[in-house]
Amino acid sequence: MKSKLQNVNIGFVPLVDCAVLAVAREKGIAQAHGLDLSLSKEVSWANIRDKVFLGYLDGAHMLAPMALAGNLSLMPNSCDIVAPFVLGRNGNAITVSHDLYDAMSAHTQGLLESWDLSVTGAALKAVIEARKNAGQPVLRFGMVFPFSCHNYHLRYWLAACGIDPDVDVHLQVVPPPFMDQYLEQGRLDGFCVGEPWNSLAVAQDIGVIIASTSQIWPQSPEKLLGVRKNWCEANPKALKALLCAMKEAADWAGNAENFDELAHILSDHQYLDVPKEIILKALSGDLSLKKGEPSRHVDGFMSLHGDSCPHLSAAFWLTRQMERWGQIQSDMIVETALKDAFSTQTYLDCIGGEFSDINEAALFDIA
Amino acid sequence: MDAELKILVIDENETRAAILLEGLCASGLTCVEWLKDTRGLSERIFRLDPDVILIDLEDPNRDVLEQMFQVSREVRRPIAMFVDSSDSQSISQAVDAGVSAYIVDGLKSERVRSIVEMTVSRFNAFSKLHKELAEAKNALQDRKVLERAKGILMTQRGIGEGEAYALLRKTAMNKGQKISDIASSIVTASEILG
Repeated sequence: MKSKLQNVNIGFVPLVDCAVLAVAREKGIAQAHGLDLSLSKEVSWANIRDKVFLGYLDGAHMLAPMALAGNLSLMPNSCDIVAPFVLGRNGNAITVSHDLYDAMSAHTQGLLESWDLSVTGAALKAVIEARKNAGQPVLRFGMVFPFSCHNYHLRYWLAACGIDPDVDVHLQVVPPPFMDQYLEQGRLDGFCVGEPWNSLAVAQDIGVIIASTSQIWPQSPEKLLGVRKNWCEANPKALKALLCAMKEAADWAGNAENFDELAHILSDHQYLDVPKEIILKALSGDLSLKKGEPSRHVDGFMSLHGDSCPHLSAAFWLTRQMERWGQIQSDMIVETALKDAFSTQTYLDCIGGEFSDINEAALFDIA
Repeated sequence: MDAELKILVIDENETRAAILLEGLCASGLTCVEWLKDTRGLSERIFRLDPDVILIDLEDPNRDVLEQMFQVSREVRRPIAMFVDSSDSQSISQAVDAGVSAYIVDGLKSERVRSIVEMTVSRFNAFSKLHKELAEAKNALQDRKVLERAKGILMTQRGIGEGEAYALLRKTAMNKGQKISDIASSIVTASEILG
């Protein structure tokens, strides 16, 4: 007799990097590992956190810094989280309005052709200076959550280019589904968001993609599978099955031969509910930067497979950003809380394999 | 209830907001503000300086409120989601109803509990109303489509109304579908075929 499947409730936000979860369910991988994987679409990161805390969800697709912020008690409604699996690395981009793009281009020609963060940053700085001299209001940029790589990558890049993210621009949280609308209505001048929202802005001719966050920090952990610690302790077998299913699903999702089918799965209304062609851009890294212009292949734009094990060194980098931007004091950074969150050991115990924390990719630095 | 508590309701749905505001005012709360549009949300919250914020759990703007927990200079007093951990039943009632409430730091939970309970009951009343309205609309729509499908059958087949209805019912039974679905396919097909 077939043994009964164990139900696991996992929340996700409809973004391309929920792919591994969708594949684990839709390709029957979770089931083959003895799990009945229920996926619940959520409208906000606050909902993800609160529902995991309240027990409505066992775990979720989480922003990597969110798992850390939870364990460091930087947010309300936080419980201890174990986040042993990287669901996606990078995959975010910076998109600006046509007005801002034109102003930047007036300063520097060929921004998209050069595709160089220093050049783009210098052009942005020039526009900011000119606006300041003309007495115009500061530019407004949207990002998705206070504890997000979007926030840290954007700030890191701006600061490296001599732009103070707390003074020279206004950064505000905007839910991803509203980004395009706000850009179109002139309520934002640019944003840093995950896919499909950048490609959708370009397809609707609302904005221009000027940078990929993979240029700022290659292989940056973007989303993790975060699971409530007490659930992990009570369900060690299900946890192992879940992680093995994730690994198998990631191998499938990251294989270019499967991109077409994956884009089809994600385009369904229960996931992203956007056209398959838009999703394919992020999967393949062949981005349309500006409507009507040829696409550009962005190496390592988003990785769904390969190194799925979280690195403690990445957790440290992220907490240093929290400290840099005043979200935390250095004496509040507790190594055990970080190790619990970016749980390399849980990954190795459940999936196995060798781990090395070397070969860290270099961060962007001003040319 | 505490008349002097300042309550802010964030809701794009006018009907639900009206139902909630009416309930809050009826229970003696006098300082109740409603934001329909979330433009400049943090600045407006700073100006209003509410003690309690009530917002739909499924409103993506909850992430905008999260920023205010971080950026202390934008709000005078820290706010946090109201979770009365001593009472798991009330938490699940709130989540099921889709209510989330934020309260300023230091406010005693008993002062807020009745407000949250009121919000939950008003949200539930709205959902019920909304469901009934949708059902009534569907029923009316179904009846219109059924009339049109009968008319099409009567013209095309040269049969009477009773026969047309019997044909629809028989087809629906054979196919294991609802009469309204069959009627709607006939109407769609006739629109395409002309």
